[in-house]
Amino acid sequence: MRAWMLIALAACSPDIPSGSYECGPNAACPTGQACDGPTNTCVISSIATAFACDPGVEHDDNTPATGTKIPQLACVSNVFQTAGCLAANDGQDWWQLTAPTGCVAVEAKVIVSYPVAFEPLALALTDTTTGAQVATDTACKNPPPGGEDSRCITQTITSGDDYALAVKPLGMGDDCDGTCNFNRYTLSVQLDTP
Amino acid sequence: MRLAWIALALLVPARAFADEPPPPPPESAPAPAPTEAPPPVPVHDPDSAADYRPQPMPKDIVIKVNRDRDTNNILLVGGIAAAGALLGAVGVYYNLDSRDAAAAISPKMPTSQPWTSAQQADYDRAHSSGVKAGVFYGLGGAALLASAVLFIVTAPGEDRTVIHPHYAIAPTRGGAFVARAWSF
Repeated sequence: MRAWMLIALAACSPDIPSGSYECGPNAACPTGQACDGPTNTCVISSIATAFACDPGVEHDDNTPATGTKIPQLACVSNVFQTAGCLAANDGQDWWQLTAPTGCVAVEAKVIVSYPVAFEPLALALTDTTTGAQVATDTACKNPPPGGEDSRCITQTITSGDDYALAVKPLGMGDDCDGTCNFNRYTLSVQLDTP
Repeated sequence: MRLAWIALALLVPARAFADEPPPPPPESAPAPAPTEAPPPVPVHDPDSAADYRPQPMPKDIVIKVNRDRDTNNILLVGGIAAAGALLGAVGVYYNLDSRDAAAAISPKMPTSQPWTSAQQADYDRAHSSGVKAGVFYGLGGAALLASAVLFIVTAPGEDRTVIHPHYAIAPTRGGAFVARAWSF
């Protein structure tokens, strides 16, 4: 009993091993730890490394015309998933999508998932055939696992039209006062019948 | 001041002597012996004379009676001790609160959860309550220590009565007279 009391009274300081938590919004971590850029986890400050985009996922994709092409999808397709990265001060990534022809109706389901540690991202879908922005993101019905956030677009598209999908910073200020204005993301696109 | 004399007389039994054996028969035709010198007359020596006056005993008898604490002193010492216990109890409360908050954010393995403002609030609470616990433990301990010191320092005095015993022994015819006296 006495030993239990001693243990109960003694353990009043948090014991948080390195790597226990994912980084929170604005790269938040427990005191004494810092957000590790490559893994988005809170680690001891001395071993934390800076964020950097994987060179393999960076493209010259800052305009709709130069956006990375998404492979042609069928009227009802599997999920196409790809990784992307917005480096610091990278205003947007564009992805080109062509709606298949011969479909009765096509609905595009787009999801962008990203770590909450760095700058939140947003989506915008533009019909490059008409030049009109046809959809912006909303909250997803199925939130991603802890440590990540996601935004979704579910939009009926016109068969045969070309579309451009923009992934860009949300711009709400959750960028560590400008010191974490970057993020990596996973883009998922699926076509289906509405 | 000599208040009382308590005397105890002891009559020591008279010294008994056994019957002396009969003298031996005189020897016949004793030779004339040379005359012996008369025994010396004892001289009175005042230094070696017995002193029958009461003599002091080697150790006094001391009677100590502790006085009672007054009510104000009891209330003061008890109040400080109670305050110390209360402060200690508050320290325990904050200690346990700090422990709960610390336990809530101390994982045994990677959580796959982000560090959010809720966790940060628990972290801050654990730290804050830990500091408060330390402060209250310190204050409570100081109060308890102060009450203990005050208890000792303000201990009421005692009434001392010293009794000086004396004794006297005087020989009497056929025995001795023993007397003991106390003065206080």
